Amino acid sequence: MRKWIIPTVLGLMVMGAIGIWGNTQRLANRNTEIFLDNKYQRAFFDLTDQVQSLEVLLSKSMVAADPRLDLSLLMDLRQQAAFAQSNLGQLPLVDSLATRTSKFLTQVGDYADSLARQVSRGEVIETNQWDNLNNLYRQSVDLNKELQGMSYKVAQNNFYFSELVRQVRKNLQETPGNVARTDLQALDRRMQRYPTLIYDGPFSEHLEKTEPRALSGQAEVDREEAKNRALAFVDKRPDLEYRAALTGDTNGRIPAYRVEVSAGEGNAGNKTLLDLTRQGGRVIWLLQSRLPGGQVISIDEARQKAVQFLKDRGFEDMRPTYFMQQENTVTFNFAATQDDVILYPDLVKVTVALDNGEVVGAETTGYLMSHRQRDLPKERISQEQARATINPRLEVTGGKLALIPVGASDERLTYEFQGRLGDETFLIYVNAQNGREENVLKLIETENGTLTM
Amino acid sequence: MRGGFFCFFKAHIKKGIGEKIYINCQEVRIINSKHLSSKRLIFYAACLLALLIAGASLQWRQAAAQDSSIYWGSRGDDVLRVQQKLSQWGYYNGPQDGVYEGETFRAVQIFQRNNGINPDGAVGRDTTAALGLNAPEAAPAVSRGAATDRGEVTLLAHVIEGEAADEPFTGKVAVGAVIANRTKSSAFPRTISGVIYQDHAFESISNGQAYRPLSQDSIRAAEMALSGYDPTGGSLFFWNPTKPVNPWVWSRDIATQIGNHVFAH
Repeated sequence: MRKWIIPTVLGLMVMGAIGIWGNTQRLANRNTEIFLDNKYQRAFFDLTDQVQSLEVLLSKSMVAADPRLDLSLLMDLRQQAAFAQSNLGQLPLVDSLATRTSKFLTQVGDYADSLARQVSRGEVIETNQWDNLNNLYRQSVDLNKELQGMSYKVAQNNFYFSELVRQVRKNLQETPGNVARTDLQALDRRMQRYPTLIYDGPFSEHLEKTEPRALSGQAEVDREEAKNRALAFVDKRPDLEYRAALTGDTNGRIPAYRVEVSAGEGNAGNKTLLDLTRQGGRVIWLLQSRLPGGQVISIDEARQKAVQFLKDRGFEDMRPTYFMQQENTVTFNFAATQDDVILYPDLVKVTVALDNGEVVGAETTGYLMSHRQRDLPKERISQEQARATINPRLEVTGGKLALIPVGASDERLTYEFQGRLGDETFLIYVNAQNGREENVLKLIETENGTLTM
Repeated sequence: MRGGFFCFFKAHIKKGIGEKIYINCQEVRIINSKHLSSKRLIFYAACLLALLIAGASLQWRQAAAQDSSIYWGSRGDDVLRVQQKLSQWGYYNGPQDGVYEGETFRAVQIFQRNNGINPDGAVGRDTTAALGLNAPEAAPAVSRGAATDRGEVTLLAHVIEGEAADEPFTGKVAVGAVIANRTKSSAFPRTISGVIYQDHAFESISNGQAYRPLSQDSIRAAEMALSGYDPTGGSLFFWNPTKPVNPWVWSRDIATQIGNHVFAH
């Protein structure tokens, strides 16, 4: 019978080992899950706190009379909204569930920011803005109430969020018509009822529906014309033959045709894709899929190439502003000019391959959205007066007129100065009408080009 | 080895001395029970030893794979990485084409001489270390200096690699553009990392597919997307219509299709 012993013992040992291994795995798994759930919990309770302070701050800002107090309340509001937004982003919710809540938080922060700027200029909060605040306040009350209600459930069950994740995942796999009706989704539905908010900030809702100004009044082009225009636009090498084919329609911010241009016989590598607007037949973007080889031409040669490319395609008076070098390509930014005033909202990008100088990319959305013949205001203060307002510690040069975007839809005529402080360079924009500093940008020189921040 | 195990257990059933049993593969001769148990012990020990050796050799093989050297005639991304490093440091002026030939060979030799490594012209372990290419995947294939947004480009390139590795170049830029568009939308976080690491926003981030080595195309696509190229007309969502998705996304306005992805806002 003794010969049974060794295998039995060995078998038991193996089973024991597997058992121990399994248990270690289980514990590790559980620890990870708890760790994750703790993170979710923290994000959730932070969010609840921040929404509560949003509610309080919004109501305070509605009753405060002193602009200085208003300013500090608005700044707090902005900060709390940003924190809440970041915590909401950490909760395990699929896109559809938290969209409206996220939008609310962004708009509170954004609106507070735009009001704070207004108050800091010494302007008062007007009646319709007060109504907006009131509207946001009522939303925050609702949101706060919902979150407080949820927080009891969440506090009771530490695995609330991992259960939510499981539920969402299951629903994704089964693909039924209804998404899991979670508490947060119900909350999101409630938030949908509120009217849209229109104001002068980047997340205002009317801005999501702006029309391309450069195309207004232009006729629609047909498919043949679109192909011809695509062929005319791409950068062509003289030794190759180019063909265009319409591959579809796109329904983005600007409705467009998609055209594929191929070069040479069966030259699969050199395909270029373009989108051309239906109205006016202008190129929105162009991309060539070729991966450029090592650098042969210099950045300067590439710049001349880009300037010529734009000139040949009817972009008059464009001025190169800054550039970024990528791996073997370089992207130049151009701004339009009018009467020697540089128009920073009207941007065009051109990407040039550094191996053969071919234009492998172009992008004109900024130009199409905002370019037009503008009625530029006359400057009311002189360049010298503007220069005098700049911080005296800076060594100032420049002083050209420039139109810069302010907020999301506004533009201001300014003097553009370069200021040096030690080794650092800044761009300073002084309003040409009232001498206020509108913006300060910091230039960061990198190996790959100049960045502004 | 597996056969041996089976033989052994089944052999147990019969206990006759001197019997021969053929099972599966191996012959087990039973002689005498006392003798047997010690024999079996040895057999077990041998099995265990073999397992250990197999395990160890597997690990050793992995280790060996990491410092496999590249030499004249090698091709591929490893060569490209060496060429890039050498050209960054001024040793190499030839084309960065991933082919290890004349100029690369000479550049490697000069580099080795300058760094006190035996100038054999092959990139082995020491040379790799001296080139600073050892850190596994920490620095992706193309790092050209330290622009401030380098981390962002790499992060974005990872998502593009994870979500659209098999898509055409425009499709890759499009995926990057969706992420860039999200940072400008009120419904999403405002930073690239916030958008990417939003819970369950991208499958390839959830399941780790995104952390594969980056291709040049993905990096270039990320750079293009960050510098403002947007083939999607401002889209905020994309999905592959052949895979199961949340039915909710179909309620969005579809802008375009590029490769296998549908884009919508």
